[in-house]
Amino acid sequence: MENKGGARTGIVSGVADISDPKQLQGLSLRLLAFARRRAAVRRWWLGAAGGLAKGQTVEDVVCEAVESLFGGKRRWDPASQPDPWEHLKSVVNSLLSNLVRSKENRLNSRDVPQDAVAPQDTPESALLRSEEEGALEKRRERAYSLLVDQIADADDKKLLALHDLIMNENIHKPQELSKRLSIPVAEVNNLKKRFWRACRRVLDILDKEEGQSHD
Amino acid sequence: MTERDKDDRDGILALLEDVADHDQTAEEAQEELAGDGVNVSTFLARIQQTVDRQTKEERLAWRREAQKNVEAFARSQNAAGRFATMSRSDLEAEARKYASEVHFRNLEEQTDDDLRTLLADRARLEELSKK
Repeated sequence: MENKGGARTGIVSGVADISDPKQLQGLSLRLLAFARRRAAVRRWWLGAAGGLAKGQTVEDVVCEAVESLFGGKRRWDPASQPDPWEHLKSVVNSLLSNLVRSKENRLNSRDVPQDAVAPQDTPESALLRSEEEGALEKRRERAYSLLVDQIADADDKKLLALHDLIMNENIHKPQELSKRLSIPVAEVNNLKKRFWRACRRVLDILDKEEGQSHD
Repeated sequence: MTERDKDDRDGILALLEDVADHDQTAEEAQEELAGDGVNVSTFLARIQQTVDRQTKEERLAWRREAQKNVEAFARSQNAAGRFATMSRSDLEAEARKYASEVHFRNLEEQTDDDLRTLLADRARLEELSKK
């Protein structure tokens, strides 16, 4: 069963039963929220190129992932991955990567067969690309500086510690983070949620500055 | 860009992806989505449609597969039927085509019915393998 004690701890445990419509709805909502956050990170990181390609939306990606639980090309194999949630997350990550990559390739005129001769950069296109890369780099720096401000403003030592452990010590596993921060795993999850809210505030600031909406 | 800059960049992306991937309950997700202006009811209706379509597709695929099996079985019966009226010499001539196969040796020791059964079984298997 999904969500044993979830409302209390915020942690979702156990394997969902996809034949139960309520649980499937719950999985779908969690997946859409997850996919939107992932897409937001990519948009943050890649700027305009981080938007989805081929006219797709995050909801399209989530529908395709949910479809894979019941058949299709990326059909779920419970023998190799018993947890449908893990399968769904991996399909969403893969679809988002493919869509962003294909758009990035198209923007950079690299959507050509591998054996094709690469078109030569003209001085103008090289200059344009270098300007675009420079602008993107500045955007990332601005985003990161805003994020650091947000964390400093929150005056939360644990948030800062989480930042340092992931950024400087490359620690990602919740169990290890929990050990290093001397807090329970559920609290690490709550810390990540607070951190994400700071990221969202940064995204909102950037969107306002650039006049974009979230989708 | 220096190696250090690149490491910092990778670190920031890893940090963002890590914090974006936190566990939440369905209720928390719904609240987050509604807060972002997502029409949750429309989304769930679309999910239901997707599931219904895919489930129907799978059912039809299963039926198509079952139909193929029925047709292959019918063909195999037809292929086997022609041995029923064959004479001994015709049966032996047919069996000699498969002389390399272990069941079709020492034909003189086999009765007419044995040969018919062997040939019919072989024909059925051959037909089913074409499915």
